[in-house]
Amino acid sequence: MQIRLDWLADFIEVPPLAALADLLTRAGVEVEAVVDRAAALKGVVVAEVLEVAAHPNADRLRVCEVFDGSERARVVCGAANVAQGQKVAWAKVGAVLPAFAIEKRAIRGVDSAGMLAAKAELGLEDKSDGIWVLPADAVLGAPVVTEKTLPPALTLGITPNRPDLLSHIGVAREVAAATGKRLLAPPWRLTEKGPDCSSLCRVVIEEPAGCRRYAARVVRNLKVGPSPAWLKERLEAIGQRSINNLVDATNYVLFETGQPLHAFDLGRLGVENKLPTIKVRAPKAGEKLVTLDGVERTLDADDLIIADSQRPVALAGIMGGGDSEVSVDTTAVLLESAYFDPARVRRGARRHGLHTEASHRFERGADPGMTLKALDRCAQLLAEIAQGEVAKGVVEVAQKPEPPKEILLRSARVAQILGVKLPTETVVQLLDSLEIRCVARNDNGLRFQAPTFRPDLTREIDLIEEIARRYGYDQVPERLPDASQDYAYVPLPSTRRDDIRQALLAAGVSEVVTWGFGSPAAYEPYCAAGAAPVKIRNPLGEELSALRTSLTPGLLGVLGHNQRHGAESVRLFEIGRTFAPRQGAADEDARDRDLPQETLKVGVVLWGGRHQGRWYERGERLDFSDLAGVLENLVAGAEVGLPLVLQKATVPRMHPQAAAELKVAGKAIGSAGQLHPDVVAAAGLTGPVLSAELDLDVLEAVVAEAIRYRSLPRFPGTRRDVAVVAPRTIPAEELRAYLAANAGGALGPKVVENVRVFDVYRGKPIPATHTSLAFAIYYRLAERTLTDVEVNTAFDQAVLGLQAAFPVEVRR
Amino acid sequence: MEDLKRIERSVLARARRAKAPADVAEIRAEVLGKKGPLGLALRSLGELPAEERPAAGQKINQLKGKIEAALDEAHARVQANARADELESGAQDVTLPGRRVVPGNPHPLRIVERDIIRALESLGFAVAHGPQVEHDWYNFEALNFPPDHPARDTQDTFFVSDAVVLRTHTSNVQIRTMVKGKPPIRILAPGMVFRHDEIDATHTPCFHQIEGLWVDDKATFADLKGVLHVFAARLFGPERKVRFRPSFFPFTEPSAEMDVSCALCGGSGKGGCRPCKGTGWIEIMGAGMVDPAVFEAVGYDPEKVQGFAFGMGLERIALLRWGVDDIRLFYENDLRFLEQFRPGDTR
Repeated sequence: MQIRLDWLADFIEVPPLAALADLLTRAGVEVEAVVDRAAALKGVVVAEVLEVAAHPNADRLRVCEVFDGSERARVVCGAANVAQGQKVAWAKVGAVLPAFAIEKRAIRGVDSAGMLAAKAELGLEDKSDGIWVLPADAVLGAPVVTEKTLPPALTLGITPNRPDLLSHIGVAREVAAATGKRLLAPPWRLTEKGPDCSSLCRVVIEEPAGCRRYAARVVRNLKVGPSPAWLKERLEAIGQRSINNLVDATNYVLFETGQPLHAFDLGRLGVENKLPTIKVRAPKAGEKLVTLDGVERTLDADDLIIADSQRPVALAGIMGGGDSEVSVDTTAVLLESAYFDPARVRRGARRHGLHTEASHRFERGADPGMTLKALDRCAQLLAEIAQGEVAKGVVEVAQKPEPPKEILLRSARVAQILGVKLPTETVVQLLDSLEIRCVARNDNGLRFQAPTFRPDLTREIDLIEEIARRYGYDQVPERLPDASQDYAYVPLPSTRRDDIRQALLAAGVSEVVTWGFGSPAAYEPYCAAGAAPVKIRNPLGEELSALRTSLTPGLLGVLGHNQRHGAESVRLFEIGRTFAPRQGAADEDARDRDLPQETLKVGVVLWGGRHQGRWYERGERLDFSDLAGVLENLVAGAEVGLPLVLQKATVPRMHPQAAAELKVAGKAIGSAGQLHPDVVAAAGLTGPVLSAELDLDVLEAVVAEAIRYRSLPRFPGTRRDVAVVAPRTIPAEELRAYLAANAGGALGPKVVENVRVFDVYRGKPIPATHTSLAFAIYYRLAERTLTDVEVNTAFDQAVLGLQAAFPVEVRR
Repeated sequence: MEDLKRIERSVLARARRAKAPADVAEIRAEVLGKKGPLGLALRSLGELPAEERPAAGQKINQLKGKIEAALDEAHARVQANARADELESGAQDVTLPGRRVVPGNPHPLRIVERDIIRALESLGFAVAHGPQVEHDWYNFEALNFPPDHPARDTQDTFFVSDAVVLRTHTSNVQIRTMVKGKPPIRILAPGMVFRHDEIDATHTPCFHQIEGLWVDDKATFADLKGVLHVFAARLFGPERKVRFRPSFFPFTEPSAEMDVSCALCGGSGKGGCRPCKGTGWIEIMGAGMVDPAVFEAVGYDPEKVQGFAFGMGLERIALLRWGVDDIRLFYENDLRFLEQFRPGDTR
């Protein structure tokens, strides 16, 4: 909402600009911008063109001698309309125009001390034809624009609860409340002439639920033409286009009073019962209306329309129709001022994709107290600026006005909510400054009546907010609440998610954050069999229309970005939700039944040099074991007390020989692997890429095993090593598990403290199909020292058993 | 006894030539052992006439003492040489970067989230989560956004169906927490939210909020101010001033915006200060007392419980904190960007 200060001054004594901005901010009216064009353009002054000469190097340019009463200078000008003797707007060096600052510079080899400005260059109109030629009596050296000719304006951000502030009068009231100054009553005098209004038109409300009040006046014999300069200027200063005096008058009154008005060409309204007739009604089936914007609209049964005797002529409170639009030939108008139902207007506006100054105000709630005042004001303006004759009286159809609602305010409640005790008199005064009148007092508290322009005030809490607002939020003391008891007997919430994050960061993986939605094509491969991603009905575009089903596509996108930007080693993780369609249970709360399944996931992607190109990297690349290590640390960091188990598996989109299912505590928590080269290629990536995705909901739910202390061993242990050459198809873990179970031989597995893979070798002289694996077996008994003979016997047996159980060869 | 002379010469020469402690040990074992030349000499004493034996024995023992001294000296010499060699060859380049797993970079939005949570946890708040795809009732209606109310215009919404939306704020977690639990409630709800905004340097359709809710039987607007001032002092520094100004949110009343004084101009706004647009203040968050209508929606008696809520955008705090000029950088995840938030680790 734009507020022009001189317009505001019609209704209230306006404080200096900075004070006004501060006062409004403290009242909760956001000052988005202060537009002070005059201050900004103070370097543009009136100058006389003494001489116009041709430019030596350019046909279209002129070299002008200008004089501003004290300084004479040469200015290069490209406008065709410059002429000797003119008074012009000289933007001197140092002046700041909306688009650029003026510097001294040479134009095609001739120094120019600034420029001769066009109105458009000063931001005073959209498009100019040549430079601005000022009146002959303009004073040399004076700024071309002053605060008087172009008063400052404020751009205010009005919250949806305050329709009353969408007008100059409304803002004036707020200023009055803050400054204590009285509102000024402008000298509007309406002179009526000629027949009764009721003999010129009739109004019927067939849809009372949509329209509580409809008032009409008729203005006849008016002359449509341009608006007077003052009106034009005021409208243009708040960003409105001047059309003609008739349209401008209704617009002007809207921005002045907040009441939207509409003017129908009286001659174009269909007649019923011998009179041009207005009907407020619901559309009939199939009815259409071409609105002022030229769009033909099929009307919905829920739309509220204004119709004449036959056809719709306006979408009530939203936009007029083309058929009844006023034109240059209009001589008589029916002025409409009404109160339309906010929700009805809003639904209609959304349905038709329209958002107008009128609908904006009706949706938020017009002031029923302003209906007639605004109508009179507009009629008076038309009489003044369009020489119209205002017919006597008003045709008004209205429901019985609701009695003003009384709101009870308990004084204890004010202190209870705000934390500050205010004397009753203070409360009454603060509210009275906002025209919220105290109408009764008793033991229960105070009764107040809110003014008609404040539809937002209906409850006690609304009054408490007004008290706080007027008292000043800064005046309310600060205090710290006491929460010492609340969590004393409650376990602290789980920090597992943060622990996992820390473990991944410590493992060298960087965290990324990507959007929760993206391209359906990217997610489709990552859906459960037969399922599709959840779609957004009104996406920003097809590419952003599906909720993510996996974190991997997003991570691969980030990997690709970094590969393209020269990264040599990329390790990424993301913790985020994925979404899948879900069939809610019949007995589920209706508000949960339709929600998709959300799963908290962690995704990991690794690619590139193992040590980020540091000196100890020696050409090593990240491989599956690095990924496994990261995931093992992730699970260790989660402190579930159980290890991560990797099982060789076939995983879609993964390398068939380098993928695993992940388990913790016997529960499947995800998969990991090297991406299939086809997938890498299709994504435009450089491989090999390692990728994993884990279900954090499952991991967070794993109950950590309680830790029990074991006494330290008192007897020495001993170690035996065995190396085997095994086909690559046999996972090391199978051999290790065999040894762990059998290395004890006749003594049983209890003597085997641990079995560890301590060497893996591939290469000559081992065949390419095979791997050399070396295991260290740690023997120990808690009760006594094992003898060499016992251990050797068991070990030899186990090695023989290993060879019998697997196609492996023991290396000697 | 010619033999003893020869033994002496040869052993002492060998001791002088010894290079390593092992050489010395070898000589010692060979010469002084039972089967060594001195041992043999001692054993051969019996072959001498009885009267010559003491003198010969004495000579052998003297030689033994001399050899032992020479070997001890040789041992000390080679030991010292060996240590000197070890020190010489053990030179390390201490300027080389350490061999390590270089830690990953935390995301700036997570740093902000963590710092906000840390600032508030000790006041009694605990983290809570809720769905990102939400029923209209939790996202709007229970929060006092009636259907067909213009307040919904302030939050352009993505729809999955008529009744299911991508949550436009983390305030749905307020409702879910209150519906499920009972006061006292103090939660912080961080997470991703969605608005139907065109993408530019200051808007993205996905972004992050963190929201606080405090409900008991006595929390007042004064408590809200106290908590948020403590928060601001912890997050931005105790020298920053705070300001509360009236605002509007459907689910709080009275509603407020909290500003902190601008760090760049110290709150003066002088010189056309850019971050604060010359006002001296920077908007940080919205807040307010929970509206009685919200309590009624979740089945609480607004006469018996009261409290406050506040919420802010993580991106906004991050933009301000690090002077980032384009919000899209947070989602591009360029490692050269992410690395800047763990400075000083470039080796």
